[in-house]
Amino acid sequence: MKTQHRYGFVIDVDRCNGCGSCMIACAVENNVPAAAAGVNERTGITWLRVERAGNGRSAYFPMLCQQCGEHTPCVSVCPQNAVEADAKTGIVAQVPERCLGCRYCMAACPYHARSFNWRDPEYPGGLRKALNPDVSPRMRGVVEKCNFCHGRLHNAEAKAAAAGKTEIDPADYVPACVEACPSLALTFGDLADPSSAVAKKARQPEAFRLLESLGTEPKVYYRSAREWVREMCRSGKKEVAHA
Amino acid sequence: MKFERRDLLKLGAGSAAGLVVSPVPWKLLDDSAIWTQGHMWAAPLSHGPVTSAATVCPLCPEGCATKARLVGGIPVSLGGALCPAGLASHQLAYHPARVKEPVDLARLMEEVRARKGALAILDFRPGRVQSELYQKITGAIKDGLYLTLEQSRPGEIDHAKTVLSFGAPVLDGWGTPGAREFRLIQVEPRASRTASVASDWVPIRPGTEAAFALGIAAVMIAEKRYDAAATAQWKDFAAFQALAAHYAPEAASEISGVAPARIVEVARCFSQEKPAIAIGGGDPGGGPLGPQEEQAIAILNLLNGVPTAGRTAGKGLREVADGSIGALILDGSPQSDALPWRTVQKKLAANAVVVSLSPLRTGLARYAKYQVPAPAPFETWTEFGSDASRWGLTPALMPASQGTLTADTFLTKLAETLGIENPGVLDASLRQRSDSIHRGGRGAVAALGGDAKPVKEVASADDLWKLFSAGAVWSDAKPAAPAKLDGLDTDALLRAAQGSLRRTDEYPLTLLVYGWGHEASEAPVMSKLYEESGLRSSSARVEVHPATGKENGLEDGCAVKVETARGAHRAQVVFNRAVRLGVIEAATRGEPSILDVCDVREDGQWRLSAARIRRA
Amino acid sequence: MIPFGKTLFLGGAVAALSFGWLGFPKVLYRSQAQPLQFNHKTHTGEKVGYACKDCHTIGEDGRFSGVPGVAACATCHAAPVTDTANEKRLVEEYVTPNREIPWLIYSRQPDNVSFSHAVHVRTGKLECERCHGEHGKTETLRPYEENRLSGYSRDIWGQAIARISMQKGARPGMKMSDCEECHAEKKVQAGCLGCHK
Repeated sequence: MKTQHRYGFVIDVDRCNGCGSCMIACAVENNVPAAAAGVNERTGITWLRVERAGNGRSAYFPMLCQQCGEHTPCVSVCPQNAVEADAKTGIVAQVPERCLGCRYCMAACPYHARSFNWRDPEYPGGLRKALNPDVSPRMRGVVEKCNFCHGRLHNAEAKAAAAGKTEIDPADYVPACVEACPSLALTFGDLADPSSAVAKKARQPEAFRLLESLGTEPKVYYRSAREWVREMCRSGKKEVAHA
Repeated sequence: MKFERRDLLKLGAGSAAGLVVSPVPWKLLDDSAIWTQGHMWAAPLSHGPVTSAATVCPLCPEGCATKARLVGGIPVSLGGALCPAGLASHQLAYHPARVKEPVDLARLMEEVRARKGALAILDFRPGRVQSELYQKITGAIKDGLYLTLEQSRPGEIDHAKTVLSFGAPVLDGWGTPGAREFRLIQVEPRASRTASVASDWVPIRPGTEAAFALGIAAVMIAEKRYDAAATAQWKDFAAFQALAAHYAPEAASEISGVAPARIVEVARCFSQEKPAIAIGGGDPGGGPLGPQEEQAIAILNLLNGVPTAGRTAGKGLREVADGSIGALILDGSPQSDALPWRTVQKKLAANAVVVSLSPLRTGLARYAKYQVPAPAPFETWTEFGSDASRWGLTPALMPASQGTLTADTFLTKLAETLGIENPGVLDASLRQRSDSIHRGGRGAVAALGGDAKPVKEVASADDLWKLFSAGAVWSDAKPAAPAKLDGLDTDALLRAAQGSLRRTDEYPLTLLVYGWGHEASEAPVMSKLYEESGLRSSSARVEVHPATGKENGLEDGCAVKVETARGAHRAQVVFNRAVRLGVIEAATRGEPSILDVCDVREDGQWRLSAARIRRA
Repeated sequence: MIPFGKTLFLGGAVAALSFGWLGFPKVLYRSQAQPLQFNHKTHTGEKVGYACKDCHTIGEDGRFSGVPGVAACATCHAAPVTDTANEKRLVEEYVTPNREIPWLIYSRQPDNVSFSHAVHVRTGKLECERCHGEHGKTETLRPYEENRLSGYSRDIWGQAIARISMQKGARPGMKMSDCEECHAEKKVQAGCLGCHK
């Protein structure tokens, strides 16, 4: 599907040290509620989760919605049209307002990038007044996932409009995780713009995508100079640090 | 005419027909649907004005600059690249463990007055103006004790080409590692996050930092790759040379487990690729490296001609007699290091009163009898920078919650109780520091988010104070005067270099603790899922190598008891091939913490304990 | 002579219709007066001559100021400039103690809506009157009617259920279907992502 922009990521696995700043920045930006007692990776909400893979000296993979390009499994299966591949930006946008909570998309997503709200959000001790007004909180019973910080995209568009422009300034649209990474491992931008940093990095030979054989054509690229990392991702065997 | 059932039906049919073409059923359906989505759960978003403010993260002495985004005068996010704790620090004001109940100040002071033992103030962030106030108070009474944690202060690594770090988490929570260009040689027994991405990771055996440092020093001395001018000024250099001769690469290798060729390589790199700096401190959750280890590391820096900052003022807990403290006041700044309660507890007299000035009921504050409801981070101004070359103030960003008691109020009352006249009020002391900087005329001052301006160009002391009150940082580029190295205790250093842990048959394994003791990392608002994802562990999970686990009859994921001479700790075990054989790794965060069973040795170290592991 | 049965039917229908169209809105909506009266006409008329954008500003960052804060009123009304009781209240209760006036916003959208005035006014070149009607010419602020069930203003009534505009000249409704209608008319695609937070 040809879109005007194709926003994407290149994530440098060699730079990622697994600190998790990106996870926290994402949760703060998107009003993700504090995890309730007893939740785990499957029942909690993480739009972005850093996974550890490898053996001994590990490799850390920030996993987020891979924003599939050609074939979007979640869009195909949703009975509610609650997720839509945006024509202008290429972002696979989750619309919790339409979701009825069947979780078919969660089953369809090969990257396990989607989270379900098993409960209503709880913001302890007055945290409600410190929520980000640019992102709406979700109620129980709906699925949510990374939307490439659509709140920040809206702000960038408004800023461009106020200045009389029709195109946003790329410097104004930086997702929270990219801004927060202390190791500078995340690069974001318009893959459709051949001169952008992200497009250049994605064209490097060390760049690869996950589960390429499925044909989803994700817009999130990973890159590593370490052959064992690339081989691990190609073979699909996640050699975890546990046993 | 009788009103019959048919008539009722006709009336009903008419009404129904009328209703259907009126908004009633449709609007009710629509609005009920909206009601279910919005009624009980909705957290209405603030529609206040959006502003931003340059500020500094208050959680640790690193003092990372950031830009806060405020909505209606409340910070909703911190911009820029910070560590995970910093990114969630503006949410600490809403922490469920926030101390909200008012404290009975009169009763508290009465207990302080009636104390049976010394009055001690344990300062977690020494070097501030507030620290000076603590010292004034403890200095003015005959049984006053000013205590600090034995933290080593890292040198300036921003301009280094090579950094030799003994366990310090340089690439994990120390400013913006991505922006730094140095080669990091991480000397650490664990495959920590920093070790994973360091240029080189030297996996020494646990507790052999001193031997390794001596090995490096031996190579540098043998190959004459040291700064003769710097060493000429150290009176114990000859004694040290004799000692280091015993740690030629083969000997150091036997103790530390690192190949001799590697030791030589590291030594050459450290002495040639300059500016090079060695950092001690170790992993903060594991507590300090011992004083001998720190001295060995400081000597490495001396050999390179690099001055290192000495230990902070104040006594360490080790130097206090057991059972001698009658009243203990725990400073309220966020603790960067974990500290086993036992180390504090044995210094307390019977019925000692413990007061915490922290806004949160976490860390050591849990053991305090009186928890003063202090302002949370960003609800009060923060003092940052703590030495002769950097100091600054950042103002409060949001109104303090109801009922908070500031440190100033508390200290004034304390001084009154102790009968101290005119100890100085905090505001006045801050002003004094600003004035002395103005008098000194050195360095430059920059408003937060603004450009630096030489202090000489600031017209008056009043103007400088105005700058600081609005949020500014002062820095002096001239390096601090080289610290004097403590006298060399060759016996102690030799002992430390033998490896600092004695395992026994009863406790054949090594328990190695690590992690942030940082209370910010205990905040559920930072998403517990972050911990449960395995990214940041807590004491609820311990990790062993699969072979070690099988030897001890364990299964991956089963419930275990980790036992030391101090007690038993229940946890879940996870098999991890990255853990050394014979070692149990555990993070210090969480309740109950593994710190409760850690062995605290005479030199103040608790990172290694002899232990065993059993199925629970 | 109309048969009794038909009378009942018609009576029922009439009763239901009157309740539905006249009585029901009164029951469904809670009417609240604004905390203070404000005369738009004096401010936009000849004497003062403000345009909408002079008080309802779009910032450089693209954010819309909404109803201006009390600081904007204070620029002229730091002290009373007329002798009306209403202005006296403004000065004494709000300007002097620097307290924000708790206006009730007629066109407040739900929290999941991302509506950018900058995009619609500057890029879309829409007139304020197109959605907000002749609000700038009113002499008093009408009462704020809040839907007891959904919590939203009556102005958001919407296209799907009988289009009743709450004020002269304004589009009858600000629900999603109304947005969609205008977008279709002007052939501007937004997608879900464009309008939802």
